Amino acid sequence: MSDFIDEGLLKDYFDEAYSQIDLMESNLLNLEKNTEDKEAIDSIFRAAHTLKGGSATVQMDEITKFTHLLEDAMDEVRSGKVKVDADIIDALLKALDVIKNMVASRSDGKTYDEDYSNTVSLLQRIVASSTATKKPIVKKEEKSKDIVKESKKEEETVFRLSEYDLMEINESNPDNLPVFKISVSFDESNPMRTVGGIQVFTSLRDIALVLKTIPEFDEIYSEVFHREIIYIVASEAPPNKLKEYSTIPDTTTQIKIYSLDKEGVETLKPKEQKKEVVKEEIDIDKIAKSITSEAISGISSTKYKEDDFAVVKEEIKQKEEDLQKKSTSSTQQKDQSQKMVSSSVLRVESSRIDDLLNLVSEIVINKATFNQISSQFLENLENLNFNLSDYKDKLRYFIEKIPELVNSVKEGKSFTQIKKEIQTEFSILTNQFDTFASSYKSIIDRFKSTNQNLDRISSSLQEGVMRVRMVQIKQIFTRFPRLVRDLSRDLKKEVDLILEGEETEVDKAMIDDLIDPLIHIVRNAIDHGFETPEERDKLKKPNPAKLRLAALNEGNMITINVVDDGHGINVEKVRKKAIEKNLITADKTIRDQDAFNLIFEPGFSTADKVTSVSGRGVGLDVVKKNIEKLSGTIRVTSELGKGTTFTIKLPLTLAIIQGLMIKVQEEIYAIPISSVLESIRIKPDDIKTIDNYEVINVRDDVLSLLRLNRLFKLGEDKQTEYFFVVIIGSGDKKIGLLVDSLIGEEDIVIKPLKDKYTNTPGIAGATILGDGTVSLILDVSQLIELGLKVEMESHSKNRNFGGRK
Amino acid sequence: MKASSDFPSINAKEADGLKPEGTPYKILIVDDSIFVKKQLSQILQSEQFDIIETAGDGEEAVEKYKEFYPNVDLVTMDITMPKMDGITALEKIMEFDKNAKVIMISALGKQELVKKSLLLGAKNYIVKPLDRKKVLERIVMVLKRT
Repeated sequence: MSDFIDEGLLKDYFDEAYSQIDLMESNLLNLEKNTEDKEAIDSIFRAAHTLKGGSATVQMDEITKFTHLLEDAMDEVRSGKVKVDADIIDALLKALDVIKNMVASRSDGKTYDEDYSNTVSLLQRIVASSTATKKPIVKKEEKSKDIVKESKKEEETVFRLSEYDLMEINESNPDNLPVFKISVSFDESNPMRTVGGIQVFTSLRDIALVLKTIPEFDEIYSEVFHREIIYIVASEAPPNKLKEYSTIPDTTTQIKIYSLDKEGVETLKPKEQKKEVVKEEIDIDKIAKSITSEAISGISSTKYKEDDFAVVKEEIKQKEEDLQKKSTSSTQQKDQSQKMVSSSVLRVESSRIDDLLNLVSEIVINKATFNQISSQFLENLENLNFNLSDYKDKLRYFIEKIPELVNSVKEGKSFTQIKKEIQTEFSILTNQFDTFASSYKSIIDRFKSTNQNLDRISSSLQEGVMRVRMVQIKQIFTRFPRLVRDLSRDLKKEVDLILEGEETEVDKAMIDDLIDPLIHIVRNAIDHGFETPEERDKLKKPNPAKLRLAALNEGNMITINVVDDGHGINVEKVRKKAIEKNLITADKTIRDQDAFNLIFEPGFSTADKVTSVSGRGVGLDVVKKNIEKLSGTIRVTSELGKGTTFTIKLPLTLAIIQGLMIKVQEEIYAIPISSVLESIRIKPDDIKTIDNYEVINVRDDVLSLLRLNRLFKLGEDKQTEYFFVVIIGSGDKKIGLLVDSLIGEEDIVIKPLKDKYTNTPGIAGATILGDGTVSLILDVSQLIELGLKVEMESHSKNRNFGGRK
Repeated sequence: MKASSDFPSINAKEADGLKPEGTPYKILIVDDSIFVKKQLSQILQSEQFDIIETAGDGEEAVEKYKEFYPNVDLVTMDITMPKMDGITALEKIMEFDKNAKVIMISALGKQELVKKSLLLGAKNYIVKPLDRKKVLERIVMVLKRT
């Protein structure tokens, strides 16, 4: 790879490649809906073009070549030569898939090695069809082959302009500037060789008046390559300057400059020239020589270069092969480094970072205020000490003075007089601390308000940092139009996909884990949920069927709804199947909601036959597990004949949750508040035992209890007047946790546990409390699963203990 | 005794990105591809050019040019871009500053577009994929011609 392609650059390339692919895909789907969509065509073309350029730079040749084909095909579409129809859309989508796979292989450090010649010929057919349907256009041929026109003029023949030309030249040269004829030869091997003529033209234009070109300007501007072009210019500039301006590296090979007299005759024959001119001519000759030799060496060197390049390329290939053969370790290393490239990149709106900076600066100010307050406190303390000693002195003096006063009473002083004396001398004692108190109060006020500020800033900072991690759900929604299109085609169903709330934001960490469950649900809906168009016609349901994918924010939760208007879940069928699979007993009557929930059981599928798309029974149970892993919930509701709705609820973020802090013995635990249904206080007598289960009655419902102290082996049950029961639920299961006391709600930052602790059942993570102690976060769904089992065991153990005693 | 000239300095070559008086040339890069932007920046920065700003489409390019004018020495302009293409942007920039130095960045084969932009006042063009040597050569050539 060339010297300036580093890993960072590769990373950027992949980033861009994926975004271009997404762009192409969404526009292709738009184009399918509206085959006249000019904007879509343009942007597909641009995306293909950009991708091609990028791939060429990082030397991913197969991608470059293929995208070039796609670009060509799009060019035909863009120019209107090819009409967009379903076949073309199909071909383009297939091509896009190939590109996707190519880029994906590359980002894994491999090269795409599957056969895609089919797609290539599909694209080629698009290009070919345009030339076949329309009359072969000459221009077109020229474009691909740049007819090489030889300038017929022999160099030796004396150059003469026609009279008309002369008149024209003289007219357009009113200042009578010296006129030159510049003859420029162009390099045929330049890939952009037809540009050269114009390039020299514009370059000369900077220092000279270009009076005429041979061939004519329009000819130069056309797509025909001319080996030699003659420019007639008027200029004050010396010939060597003219030469400099007509020389373009890689483009021009030879430049000859002649002076022309008024009659348009070359005046460069040495004999006929004055000394001055001779000098100049020699100059020109010299330059011409050096330049031609330069140019020639330039050509030959470029040729060599090309040859060299080929050789080097061969060598590189060879080396690469050797490498691959030789050491697997080195390829592994290469793989690794390539994989590093594909590590995740998070793009964040700059305004969000600005907000953070803003908050940080506020915190800095806040800190300064705290510093001030702290020094004020110190000042105050000094003030207090001073006042205190003063106060003590005065008090002492007062005490010393008492005998004196007593004496003076004895001497017959009146009480009022004494009282007055005391007042004048000691009244100061009563308000000795007034100033201190008031200043202390003002500092406290200031402290309070600063603290409030800190509170506000830190919570916005927390929110701000979270927002950095938030990405729009659009990122995953964009995948669905294509998926739905392909699926509905495969299954011969007509489906209209409606996306809503694409701008809803989700934690970046969640996005990736959300894709698979969503895809699964959408697949299910299309495969099992929808009727075939014929059936729908019979049922008088509108065609195409509607599939709605909607995301919305609800407080601290995000809700994603997948709504179809298919035939809904057949409760009877589910029941039968469940009995068949031994999930429920035959005599059990179940509510509709319970029946719906059965579809989340492992191995459950009501589809009559297994299709390639879905129905293999590994399905919704995995979806449910994945969603629960994200501490979310999934529910399904359905109405027979009208459709089914899957509702996924997810917390906004995985990193910070609201927790209910509880205490068991001396330990403090946190329960995610989203799983807490309610908490109640019970007396020990309220606990009843049924089949070894401890249960309580809550509003006519029987709820099994789980004693955390037993589950976590924290010691014997406490004997208290009251217990607290926190009722937690996951899905439609509920359980009550018996705890000693409730502490309160708090925002908790989840810290993941090290590997060796992750196997501890019932624990999801840890958090650090305000006072620095560590508290464990309970995993609600695990607790519910686990709880009953453990509780039963501990019960039987307890009984055994009891028996021995 | 040997004269100092007998020892050729290894670093005899001046960085291309510096003007004769030693200050760097100021470049505005216009390209909708972040990737190309970065690549160009790397090439130019390695020769100590000063990349004052980059723009992602034609509209932005014209805006940025006007903002920085006259402190822009050269603009590299991609041709195919969203919103406003490079040629229109070139026109607008030339309208604003007839001495603007704009180099077009074009994909291989877009000869018509390149010709059009040259006539509109572009000083040169560079073909993608970018070749470090050619990029520098063309940019330097345009800058040296004042």
